[in-house]
Amino acid sequence: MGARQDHSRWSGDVACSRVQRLISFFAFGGGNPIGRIELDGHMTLEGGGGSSDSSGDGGGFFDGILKLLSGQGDAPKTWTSDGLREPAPATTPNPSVPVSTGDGGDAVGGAVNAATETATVGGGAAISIAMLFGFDPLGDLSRKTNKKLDADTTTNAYAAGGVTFDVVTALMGGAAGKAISKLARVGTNGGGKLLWTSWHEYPKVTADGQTYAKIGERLYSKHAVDRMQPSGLRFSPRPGPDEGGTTGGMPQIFQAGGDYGRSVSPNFIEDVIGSTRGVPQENGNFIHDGGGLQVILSPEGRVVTVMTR
Amino acid sequence: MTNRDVLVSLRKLRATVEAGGVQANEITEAFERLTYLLEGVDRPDEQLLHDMVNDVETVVFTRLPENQPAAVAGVLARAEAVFERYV
Repeated sequence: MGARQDHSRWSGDVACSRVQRLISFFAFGGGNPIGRIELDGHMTLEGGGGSSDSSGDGGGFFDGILKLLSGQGDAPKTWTSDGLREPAPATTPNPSVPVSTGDGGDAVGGAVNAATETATVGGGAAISIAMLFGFDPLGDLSRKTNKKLDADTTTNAYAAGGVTFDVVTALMGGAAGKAISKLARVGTNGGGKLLWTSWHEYPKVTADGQTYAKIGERLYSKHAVDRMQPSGLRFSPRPGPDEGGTTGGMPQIFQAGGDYGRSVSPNFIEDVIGSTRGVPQENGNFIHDGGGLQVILSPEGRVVTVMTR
Repeated sequence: MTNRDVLVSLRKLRATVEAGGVQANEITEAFERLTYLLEGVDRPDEQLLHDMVNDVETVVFTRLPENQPAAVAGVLARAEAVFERYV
């Protein structure tokens, strides 16, 4: 740690299949911000300079990201297959990337939202976001060790409203991170902006004698919504949605004795449903297997539960 | 609650399931609670238990009611083998 690394020598034509490995290298190569990652057949990396130092002199990982996202950093250089180019053109948000509709939250939540809009990777923003924040979505990180470490960050992002699964699970690591990489490979459905919040906050619909949350055009069981909650929120000292607050708590999870949430946003669920074929089950339900995420639907198309692998 | 106590609870749960004495939707939560009460679990076993919780949930939400007890009991039996390593 702390060793200077010269990234400026990296350039040239980068095949898509190598993106994950390359980004991983940059993310862990001193922990410096890349700034923006784009992929449209080739890869473009933008950063404030060609070398990095993780020893921490005010130019740390998050500081760098915040500067880059807010336009306060130095004019970035751009490495492309055509060579060095500067300054970087403005980024047009990818319509396939779900973007938060939240009203901000704190600085970290805002940065997460901004990163969602800025990091543009065709069909796979999750990878770039994960890497911007220093986590390897392919890594087999323990959910128990990571959820505690990042509980507050996740909470902030969640509270900002409608933050995508991509961001939060990237922060959480573990099995959900693997799901991200799977999603990145299959692409997104060009999805909308589905609110990701607690059961308490969703509008309710009663059907066949059971109460469901209505998220977008689809009904979700309470069990499914509980499963979708961010993992690790129970560690937050803040009051939960059922305690008058907006983040933290989750007493129903606490009472269960375990960390019930699986950190799955409705956007990701819709992605899996839309990109996979439902396999009929013995009882009439359907399983949509998205690799890292399985979604079980009722015959009516209601979400019964979600499971991360 | 010691790990031995947790193991005993798991065995009771399995016996109850086999006897048809627990609602399907209660099984997952009860089993998952026990997995979190077990202490000192290694990462590979933690993943195994996570997968078993998913297996139970899959049974509950995809199998016919009459076929669920035996299938869930089978998963719980596998979980017992893991729990026993930490007693």
